Amino acid sequence: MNNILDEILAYSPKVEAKYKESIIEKFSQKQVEKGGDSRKFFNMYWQPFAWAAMLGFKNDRRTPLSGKTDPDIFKYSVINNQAPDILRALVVMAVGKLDDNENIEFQLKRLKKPDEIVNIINEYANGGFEIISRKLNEDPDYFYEHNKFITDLFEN
Amino acid sequence: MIISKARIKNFQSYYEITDFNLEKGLNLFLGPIGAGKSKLFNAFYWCFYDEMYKTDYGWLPVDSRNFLSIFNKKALLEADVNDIIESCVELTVITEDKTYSIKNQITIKRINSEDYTSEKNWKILNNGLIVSFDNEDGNRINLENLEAKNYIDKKILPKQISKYIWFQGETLNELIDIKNGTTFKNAINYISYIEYYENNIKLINDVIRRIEKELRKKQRKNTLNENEFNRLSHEIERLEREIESNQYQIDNKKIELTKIKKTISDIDKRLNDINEYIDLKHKKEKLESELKHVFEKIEELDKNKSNEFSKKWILYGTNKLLEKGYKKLNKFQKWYEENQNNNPTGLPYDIPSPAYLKEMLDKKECFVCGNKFNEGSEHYRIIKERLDYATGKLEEIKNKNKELLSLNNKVTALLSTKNILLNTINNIEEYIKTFFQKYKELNERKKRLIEELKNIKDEITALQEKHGNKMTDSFTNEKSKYNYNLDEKERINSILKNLNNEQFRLENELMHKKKDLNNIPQNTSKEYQEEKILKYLLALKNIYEKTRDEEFKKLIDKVEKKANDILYKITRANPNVITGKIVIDRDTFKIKLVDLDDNDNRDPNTGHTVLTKMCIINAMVLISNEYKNKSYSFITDAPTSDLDDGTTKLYYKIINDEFEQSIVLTKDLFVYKNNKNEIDIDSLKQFNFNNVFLIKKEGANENLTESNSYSKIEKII
Amino acid sequence: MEIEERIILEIEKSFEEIQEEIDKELLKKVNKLFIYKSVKLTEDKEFSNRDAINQIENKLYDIIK
Repeated sequence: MNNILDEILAYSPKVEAKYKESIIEKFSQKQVEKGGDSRKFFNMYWQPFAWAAMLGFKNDRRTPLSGKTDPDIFKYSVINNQAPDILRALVVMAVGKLDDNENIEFQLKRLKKPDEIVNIINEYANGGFEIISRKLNEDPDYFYEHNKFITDLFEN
Repeated sequence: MIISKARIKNFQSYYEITDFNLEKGLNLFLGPIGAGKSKLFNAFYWCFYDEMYKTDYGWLPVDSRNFLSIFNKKALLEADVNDIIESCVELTVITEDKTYSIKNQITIKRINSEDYTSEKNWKILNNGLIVSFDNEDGNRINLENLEAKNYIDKKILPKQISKYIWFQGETLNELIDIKNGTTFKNAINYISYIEYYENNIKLINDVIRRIEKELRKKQRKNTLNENEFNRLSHEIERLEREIESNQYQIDNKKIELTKIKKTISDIDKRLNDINEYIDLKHKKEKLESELKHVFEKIEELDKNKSNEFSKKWILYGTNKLLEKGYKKLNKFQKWYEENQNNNPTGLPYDIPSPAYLKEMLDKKECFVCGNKFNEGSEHYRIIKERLDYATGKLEEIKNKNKELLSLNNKVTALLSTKNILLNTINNIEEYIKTFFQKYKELNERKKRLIEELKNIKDEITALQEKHGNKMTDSFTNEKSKYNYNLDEKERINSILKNLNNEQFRLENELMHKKKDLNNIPQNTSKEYQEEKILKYLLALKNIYEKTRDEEFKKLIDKVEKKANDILYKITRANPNVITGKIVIDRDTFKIKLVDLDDNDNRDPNTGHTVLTKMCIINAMVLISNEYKNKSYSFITDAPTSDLDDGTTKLYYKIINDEFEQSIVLTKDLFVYKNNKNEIDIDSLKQFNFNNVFLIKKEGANENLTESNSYSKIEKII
Repeated sequence: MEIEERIILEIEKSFEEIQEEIDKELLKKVNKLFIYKSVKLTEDKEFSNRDAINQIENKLYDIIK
């Protein structure tokens, strides 16, 4: 295959178990929750992940995964179906973050398989989850004021 | 007389106790539709007259079948079994010589826990009207019920005049129909002495008839032609009886006619209202459907928000990062190209190509030095070794190239996303703004629609309350009733015409017979006492009739002049729009508004009509006050809906100046500011309105019903 | 001022215009009689038209001889 965007489809991102529970599951799915919104903001798991990844990239926060991880929450093919632009952007941004200390040929060879790209995205997403976690601690209503975390997009 | 204080308890929309003071001059009560103005009017009326107004029926007494209509629904709802509720209205009234307290009350007890809206489930414990005052000796007098009613009618506020000084806007048409002269004529009667003159004339006619009869008795004794005398006598008496019975029929038919005219006018109103009702219902349906549509759109946007966010909006601000990625990819591509061009085959420079080496082996000749060699020789062996090495190396390089090519393809593939992606990102901010703009617009539209819908629902409710059970969509029923009554009217008119003609004929015949009788010679020439009496009676009758006729003319002149005074003061507000004068036709008593060239206003709009009526009525009331040397508190509900703002205010100012006390309840004088109806207080102060109240509904904030909300009166100026 | 008196005053204004030979004072008496009975008719429910006519008739024979 001559396209990372095709090869990556079979891969899955990795997410720390604590973030899967406290963020992804909590704010995705159309379930009625006691005392909160009767409908959660996100429909599918990839959505908070994509958002976390974008946050991590934009805030340049890359945190290696540690502790228990959940390796199989969704496949990238899902993102490709729903939001191909997002997938493209993630991959290109990850390419931009390949280590400049290595020589060009070496960096290029990292593209042989999507593993390195996937790893980079994982770690930036992890950083993004940290940011979201902090925001939630400061303001538990962060998600219920739907427009607030949208206007935060413009913050940076 | 003025009303100085009012206390209302649990009366219709007023919950528990509401107190307020009233002053001389204009007391202005402002309130939007449904706030409780008409109920306040009802309170005044019920206190004085123990009656309730029901549209199409008029004023009805309160009895065991309808007493709950007096009570505040919230109080009824809150009452437990065996609880007792009192509803009362107490007014303090000051006349020239006394201060009265007038109180009407009903006290009821809930007897079971069933439907609280049914009279069956309540028991009246006591009810009654009390008028209290101190008499000249300083003793407190308390009159109750019938005595109280009679006293009020005689000494405080005669019932007859009440309909001209206490009226609701909607009954304005009943009071004065400017196209129907009879209504004006009747109105004039009420305020003048004319009725008394009429009574006198009737009485004196009766007495004249009696005396004439006595005279004939005496004349018979001295007549010189007994037969003729008796014959004529009988004729005269017969004719008198016939005239009397004919008159009786005429009077009855007139009453019938009045009833039918009223029915026609009522149906006419209902037809109009039905049209309006149907119209309103259509509007309501349209608005509801629009609102539903807007709700759906908003929900769709909400649903989309999460999708849009995840699919697009989070890309905002990633330009720099993407640029970095694309830059690196460009670097990769450049490196690849450079490496490819330098060495097409990729073989090291000290290794000739395998094709070249193979050729040398086949030809058994070295192309470099020119030596020929054999298959088993050292040259052959070295060259073969070189060939194997080159082939192997080429294979290796080919593979590496494949790999690099593949990588380059990947890079190229990623680079091809650049333009579209960067383009998309550039538009995101705009996109998000548009999304939220749309959202905002839909919500504003939703708010507007809800407000409009509420207004229409209020109007529908007002119409329904007005007509109660009679509000149906049945246009054809009403139309056929209308036509039937029109026919009846024609029929009775024609009967009346015949009766009147007959009356005229009879009276003529009577006159001749009397003359003939008097011409029969008598055998005496002395004057009978009766003749002398008759002389005086006839002279008096003459004067009564003359005075009555002149009175009429005098009164109409006065009313017309006064009405024009008032009109002039009011129309100062709109000199370019309303000009003209009020003219009362002396023959038909129809009322017209003519322009200054004396041309009839062929097509008066509602505003003109209302204004004309108001001027006439006010003129009549003021003159009546002059005549009877009394003044009464002028109370009106919603008189000015058809007038513009300036005219309305001037009208109120005039009422303020002309009447000793006036109480006006209106929904006018609100302006639409800050997305709701507010009172323009500055404008009111500008006109020196010093006693202004606001009536509003309190209790629930939405979905107001009669039992969860109630009226509240608040003094604002 | 009661209504009777006011009406009497109004009527008496027109007495000046009477052509016939009539004793004005007598006429005033007759007028008063009628006015009072007439007003009583409207105010007193017990007082019937017949009563009024009878009373007036009797009085008239007394006043005008």
